[in-house]
This record gives sequence, structure tokens and C-alpha cells, in this order.
Amino acid sequence: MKKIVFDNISWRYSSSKEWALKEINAEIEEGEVVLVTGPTGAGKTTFCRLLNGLVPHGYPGTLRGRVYIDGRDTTTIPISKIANFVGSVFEDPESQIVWTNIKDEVIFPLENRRIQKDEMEERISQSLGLLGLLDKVDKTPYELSGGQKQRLAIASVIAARPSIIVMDEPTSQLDPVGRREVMEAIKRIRDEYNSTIIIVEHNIDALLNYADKMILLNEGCIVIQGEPDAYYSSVEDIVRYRGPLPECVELSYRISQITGKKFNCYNTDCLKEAIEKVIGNKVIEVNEWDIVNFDSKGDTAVELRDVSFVYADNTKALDGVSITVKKGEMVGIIGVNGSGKTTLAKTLNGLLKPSSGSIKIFGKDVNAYKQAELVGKVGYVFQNPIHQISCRTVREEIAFGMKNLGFNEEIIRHNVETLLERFNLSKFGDAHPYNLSRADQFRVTFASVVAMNPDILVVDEPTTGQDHAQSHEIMNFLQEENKKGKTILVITHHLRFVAQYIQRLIIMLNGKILYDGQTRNAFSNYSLMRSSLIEPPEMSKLSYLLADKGFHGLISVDEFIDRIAELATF
Amino acid sequence: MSQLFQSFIFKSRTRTIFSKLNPASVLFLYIFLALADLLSFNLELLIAQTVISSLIVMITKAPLKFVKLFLIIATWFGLVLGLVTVFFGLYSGRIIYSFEFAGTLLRITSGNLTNGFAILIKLLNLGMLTAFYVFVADPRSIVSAMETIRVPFKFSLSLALVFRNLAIFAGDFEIINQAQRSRGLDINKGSIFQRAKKYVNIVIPLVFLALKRADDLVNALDTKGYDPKTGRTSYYSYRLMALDYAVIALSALLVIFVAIYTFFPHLIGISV
Repeated sequence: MKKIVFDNISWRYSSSKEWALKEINAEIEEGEVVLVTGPTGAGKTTFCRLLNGLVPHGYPGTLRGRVYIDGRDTTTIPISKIANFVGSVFEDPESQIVWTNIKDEVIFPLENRRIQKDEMEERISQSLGLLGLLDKVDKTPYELSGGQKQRLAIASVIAARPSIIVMDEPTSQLDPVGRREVMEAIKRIRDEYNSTIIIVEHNIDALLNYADKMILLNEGCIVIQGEPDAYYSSVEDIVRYRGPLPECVELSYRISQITGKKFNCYNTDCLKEAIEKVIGNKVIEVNEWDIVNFDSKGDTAVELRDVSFVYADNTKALDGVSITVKKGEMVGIIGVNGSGKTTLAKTLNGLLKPSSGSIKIFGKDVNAYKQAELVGKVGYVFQNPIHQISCRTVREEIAFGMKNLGFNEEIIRHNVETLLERFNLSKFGDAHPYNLSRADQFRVTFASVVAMNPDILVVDEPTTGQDHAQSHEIMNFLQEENKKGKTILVITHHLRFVAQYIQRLIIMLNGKILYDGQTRNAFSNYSLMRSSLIEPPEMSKLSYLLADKGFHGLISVDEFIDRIAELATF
Repeated sequence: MSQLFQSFIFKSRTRTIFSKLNPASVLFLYIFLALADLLSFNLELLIAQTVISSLIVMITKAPLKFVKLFLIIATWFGLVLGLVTVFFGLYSGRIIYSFEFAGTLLRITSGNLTNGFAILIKLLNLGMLTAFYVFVADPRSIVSAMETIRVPFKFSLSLALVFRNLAIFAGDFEIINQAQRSRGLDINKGSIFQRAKKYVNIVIPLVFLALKRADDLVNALDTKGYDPKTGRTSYYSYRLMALDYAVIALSALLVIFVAIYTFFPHLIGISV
């Protein structure tokens, strides 16, 4: 018998005219790891909710069709009963953690299932042990890192031993270290228990090695599904339906294209073998990269000298930071969660006052600026658009900052219309921003900051919650603004985009600057990556593996293809 | 400030003498001391109670920064209520100053002054007691306390979640405030009406976020198998011990004493 059967299922939320899912048919076997992906708004979260019963039991709407788990129709079983065999892990680790103590978090679902105390003890140690949290049992979730919090959420789920685990974007809010921790946890669960695991993700690179089956959703429909080999045999369709294409798959596909031989690689080891086959004994003789000289002349836009910042609870978020950014530079800031990136950004436009040191914007101390003048110079786009949106229409929202800064009515009207068009938001001009998707909301808040025409743009995690295509749109936009002369600082965890778009990189750890220089050099420096606790992009890992062939220093798919095309033995 | 509040709500609790007590007796201690504070109108008695509260806070070794947070809030409320009492109270006593306000003759009497000051002390004491309870009790111990006294789990869980959400709410307020400031919103500028209007730009996202968080939390509770209609087991089983009974009895005695002192002073031979 199939473990899970989606039998021609359609669902429409009562708040929407559109069907979130349309005539979904899928079958999942026991013990399979299924990766569900697709662009924003494709219906991925609704897919998860159908499994854990939140749809149709937790949301009003119209349902057609049935979902069967072990032959039972879950559309007729209450959520609390479904929870006996389906465990759920959500995107935001903090929103799903109920208690302020790690042990209590694991105990709670066990108490709900009426497990006796002796058995609880056993399950607590087993699940926390499996997720590597046993030594943290006396801590509170607040004292854990993002990855540890998400592992706690998973530990709490597996303690109840459900036969199915549903994870809705479990790594999207995590830094690379947190992401790796969760991946390893999933692997351990798969090896230890025979759980059926359904994972919804945008960022699927690291998950590919574990997937038994892939499902691509687009506009509420399953457009491609199958085992990874079969799924990735239709790369053109994946791109057409805006599905994510991991770098390894993209390179493998493009090598197949230029050589005429079929390669199905999902990881760097497989790609190394494939490339060695293609190039034979050839080696890149000269590997000279464009040496980027960060212009040491020009006007200084941002200058930090020995800046430290200590929060009220004595957390030292910045520790003697010194940076100089010239006008017109585009700089990436990366680092694990808690390394001080956001604190650094907030000191630039006066939201936080440093405990010591000095910050100058265009040669003038930040404290000498009036707040309105400073926010006009340094625009800061927050990570979560919900923190910024406060107006009734998208138009009003974009105009908000300009009104506060006293822009002329005519300029406001002109800027709003220009930005609506430029950010592809024209059709939403009179819509309430809260009714838009997260990706669209981000574009609205982004536009509202750009509208104030700041000389420096600080953007915090612009690609979080965006699908692959949207992430490229945003990065392209930042690049365009940079070409127009704006100074851009991008805080991000998505290193693939850093490698592709940003030449100067700052790496932070424990409130200090660990590296400040060329992106390529950073990603090519394996020991730096290790000491900064950062997982380098897949292409950098591949370049380490192929260093003896002269591939050292390559960081993008295009660069690999260029070199392989030169060396390939056809 | 919100970050400080959050870090204390979510931090590991320090083990103190109160950790040895049943959470129910700690809750009773807080409730009875707070009740005694609310019943008391005598300045000397209130000062004595504040000394007791201060000693309790000192025993917990709660950091000064944390206690200060509660005292600042209490002082603001205390000052507002105290000043209203001083200017608009109708307590008898020597007239110190009289003035006309909106066509009414108002008198600041010695009674108004004493009671205004008493209100300030009352609020400060309450702030201190609340700092004590928040410092020693995490949400789970609130639930355990209420389970001991047979309060249904759904009620105790709701109360525990209020604690958790308050801390998250405080953090959200801070971030939203920063987000709006970064778009040039200056809530300290303009008339009271203009400032109130500006606050709307903070309140709207705050409410939206609170609703979203509530929705996420309900989903988390549902998918963790929580059903208020069905029974559940409990990992923690607390029994009241001799020390617990002693703490409850002593704090209850204090309430009785304050009630008699305030409402029936003649029963203990005091003439007011």
C-alpha cells in the first residue's frame, strides 16, 4: 500500500478567488524522501498543510478530492489525531517553539500523546541525542543558534515518532552552518528511522543527495515529478516552470550540452569525475584572474573606525570593526547568524549608536547628521517586509518615506509611478500590501527605500523567501543601481549570488572582521572558509577538488563551462 | 530595552531558594504579596511591604538592570496615578494649595499628598514583586503551578503563552520602530495628535505581526497534537511540601493582617 496518496486534490482558501492547488495527483512510498519545490506562490505550503491536516481543518476554504495516509482519509480526521502519525517542522524556528526550555519543548507533544513519564525520559534522550542537543538540555531555545533551534524543532517532532515528517522550508531562514546542521539531521533521521520525509524548499542544492523523489509545483499544479534522474532529464521544463536549478545540476546539464554526452550529477564528487572524463589529461596552464583593485582613491562613502557595540544584555555584537567603503562600491557582508552583520548595518543609519569608535558617512560623523538627513543618505531595507509595511495601498507605502522626508508632491507622484513600473508592481498599485506574497511585499518595501534616493543602500537578506528567479531579479536590480553610482552593501547567506554578483566581500565572525577583500580569493581560501564557519558555494568546492587540473579559483558555472569548453576532448 | 526584557524572559532561570519550592507556592507567594499591596493604603505599611519585596528580590539575585526595567514602568504608572490623586483627589486634610481648574475649585490637601505618595509606593512594590516573579518563573513553571491547584491545562497554557508572546511582542515593537525610523518617521516630532497619528505606522505592522504569530503558534500547537478537549499526561508531578505550606501560610497571613489593618483596625486595637 502507498504511504501517501493525493487523489485529485484541489484547494481554495476562502480568502482567495484562485485555487491554491489544482487537481494534484501524487503517490509517495514509505521511507521515501520527497523534495517539493517551485516558485513563490506555487502552492508548496498548502501541499504541506494537506499532509498535516491544517488544510482543510485549520483554514476555511473549498476542498475537492482526498488525501490518504496509510489508506486513511485525512480530510476527515482532526489535526490532533493526524499529529500522531505526521510531524511538522515549519520555516521559522522561533514561531513553532512553544516553551522557553529545551526539555519542555520535546516533552509537550509526548504529553499530548499521553506517553508515560518513563518512556518520555527515554525519548527525550534519544531524540535530543540524535539531533546533537543532549548537552544543551538545560538551556533555553533563546540561547541556541538558528540551526540548533531548527534541530530542536525536529527533535520535538521525532520524539513523538511519527511515520511521516513534513518540513516546510526548514532551512530558508538559516545561515549556511544552520543549513548544514539541519541537512545532517535529516540524513540521520532517514538512516535511523524509516520515516517518510517530505521537504519543501527553494534552496535544494544540499538536499539533492538525499532525495528519492522530486516534485515541482507551479501555479498550484504538479508540473514535473519523478526520481531525481528522471526529474533532471527535463532541465528546460524546470527552467520554464521557474523551478530551482542547483549549480551542480546546471553545470552537469551544460557539460552534457557542450560534449553531447549525458551526465546526471547532483554533487561535486560526481562532477569532478565527469569533468576529468571530459578533459582527459589536460590541465589549465595559465589561470590568471582579473585582479580587482578596489579603488583606493575616490570619495569615501562609509568609514568605520574601531567600532564596538554592546547590547543591553551585555552581548558584544561588534568588536573593534574598521571598514572603508568607497562611493560606488558594491560590497557583500556574510557571516554566520549572530556574527554582527545586522548590528553593523543598523549603526550606519543611526538606528543603533555604537558603544565606542567612530562612523563617518561621506566624511561626516553619523552623530552630526539629523536623523532625517541620515536616512536620506543611507537607505536600509529590512529583512522582513512585515516590519515596514504600514500603509493601505502599495502606492502609499512607496510614498511613505518620501513624505516623511518632505519631498515635493509632484516628485513623490513621479517617483511612485516610476518605481511601480520598475519593480513590476504596477498591477498592485492600489492593492493592500498585506495581500501580496512575501516576495512582492519585499519589492514594495525595497521600492519605498529606493524612492528616498539614498546614496548608500544597505539591504538585509534580499533573497530570503524569494525563489531563484526573483533572487536574480533583485540582485540584477542592485547591480543596476550600483552601476548608476550608488554604494551598495548586501547582507546575505546566499553565497551563490555573492559569487555571481559581488566582487568585494566582508566576512564577519563574533563581531569582528575576519576578511575584507576579493570574493574570489575568499571562496578559494579553504582554511578561511573553515575558520569563518561558512560553507562555500558548490562551484568553489568543485574548484578545490579540481585544483590539480588548474581549476583553482573558479566560482561560477559560466567560468567552469568556459574552461571545460577550451579543454574538452570531443 | 525590549532586547533586555526578551533576554531575561527567554534565558535559563538561575537556581535560587525559590527553585526548591513547588511552583504553586511561588505563584501563591506572588499573588498574596501583590494582593496585600493592593489592599494596603497605609504609607508605613506599604513601605514595610516594599522592604520585604526588596529582600525577596535580593535573595533571587535578579540583575539590577532587569529590576530597573520593571521599576521604570511602575514609576511611570505610579507618577501618573499619584499626580492625579494629588491634584484631583478628594481626601481630607490640611489644605496646602487650592486652584481653579475648568471652573471647579480644586484643593491639594495633606490627604491627597499622602495618598498620592502611597500610590507611587504601591506601584513600585508591585513592579518589584512582578520583577521577582518573572525572574524566577518560566512559562512551564506557571503551568505547573496552576496544574498543582487544578486549573485546567488550557487556561494555564494560555497564561504561559502570554508570557512568551509578551517578550516576542516587545522585540517586534523595537524592530518595527527602527524600520519606520529608517524611512524618516520621527515619532518624537510634532503635536500630540501628530505623534499619535505616527504611532499608527508602528501599531499596524505590530498588530499584523502579532496576528501572524498567533496563527503560527496555533498551527504549531495543533500539529504537536494539542487538543484541549482530550486528556494528556504530565511529565512534572509536584507535591506541596512542608516548606511550601509554610510559605503559603505566611503570605496568606500577611494578606489577612493587611486586610484587618486597613478595614477593621479596631480589631487589633489600632485607631485611625
